[in-house]
Amino acid sequence: MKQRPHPLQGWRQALTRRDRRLLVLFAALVLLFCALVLAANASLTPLHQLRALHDQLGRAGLVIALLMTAQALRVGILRKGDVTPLFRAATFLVFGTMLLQALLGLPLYARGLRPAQDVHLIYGMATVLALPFFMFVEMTARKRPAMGSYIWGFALLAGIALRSITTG
Amino acid sequence: MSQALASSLLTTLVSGVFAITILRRWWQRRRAHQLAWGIGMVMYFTGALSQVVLTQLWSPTFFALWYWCGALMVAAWLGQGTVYLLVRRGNIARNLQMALLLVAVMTLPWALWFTPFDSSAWQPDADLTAIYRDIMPQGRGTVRFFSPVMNTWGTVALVGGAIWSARLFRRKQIMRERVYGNWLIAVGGLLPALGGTLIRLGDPSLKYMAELAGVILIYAGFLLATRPAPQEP
Repeated sequence: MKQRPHPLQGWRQALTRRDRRLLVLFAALVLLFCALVLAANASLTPLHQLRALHDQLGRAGLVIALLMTAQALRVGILRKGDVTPLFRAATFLVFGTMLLQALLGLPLYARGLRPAQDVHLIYGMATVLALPFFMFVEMTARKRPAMGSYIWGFALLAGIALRSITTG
Repeated sequence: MSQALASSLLTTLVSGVFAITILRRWWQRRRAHQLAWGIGMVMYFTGALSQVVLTQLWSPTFFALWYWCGALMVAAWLGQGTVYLLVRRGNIARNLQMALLLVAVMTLPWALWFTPFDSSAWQPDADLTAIYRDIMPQGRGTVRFFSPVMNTWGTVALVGGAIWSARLFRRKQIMRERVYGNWLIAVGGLLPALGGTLIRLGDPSLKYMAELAGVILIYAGFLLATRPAPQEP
């Protein structure tokens, strides 16, 4: 009997040329966003520029998480569809952005620009960890479709990002 | 020996034995629900052990562990075990597991290092359930926000799952031990939650006894429900 391949087998190769272009476009948009924030705060000291970037990436993270939740709901609940390679790759990109945003907070903390409440550090850590937990579930799931993992992941990320902003 | 210390010691002993029993079964069979219950019992044990220590001396670390294990994690992990056992649709159980892990990872450092404690409210042999609000006042920067959410969810999953299983076995007229076992688990799961509710209503005296009775009933229910069915002659 022929064994059914795992849904993740060769998922990187499964990205079409259009998917790759879209991913490059997403990554370029994130970089452009960072450049615009730095340019808009060019008159500030480098440390305060970093702080502005940290703050704005946090707000962008909230918007992106809400958009991704909506997309996951549309695909997972309305269409009963599975995770596409593009969606999964975009999730990696969001995770990378959240990691960058959290890492930017470290020099700020070390140089004395502390958050309003200490629990901001906990929420900051959670914004980085929220997605990998659910990415692990989706990427190891034998039961398909598994878009539910990203509905959970992005909805929680949105909630945590909101708390992170209000305590920062 | 005070009643608080005696019941905490007994709870530590029973939950420790239960944790070893269930984790040994998990080691042999590698079932996810057994691991979740095992972790839940390790939390029960750690919470009770911290309670023992805190009747004798003040330690912010043990107080944080007492609150994190007892008030945040025990019910949720035990409930997660039941979810693994009963919810087979899609990846719901695994996703809930990850949400629980995320909350656990968030709240442990929060309780240990970011929650301010007022140790002046503590005294030897004090009933922790009576003074924990003074030690850790509600407000910004405490983990107490998570407590009702985690306990309600965990208790509903554990007790609801046990009642559902008991009714199912009873309706099918099979495995009578499982019917009784699940009823014991349901009552045992309700008792600590009832103690918690009494604390909220202002009567903390029953909490320690409820914890002890709860773990004994859950253990008895577990042994009864997982006893192999007798072979047909």
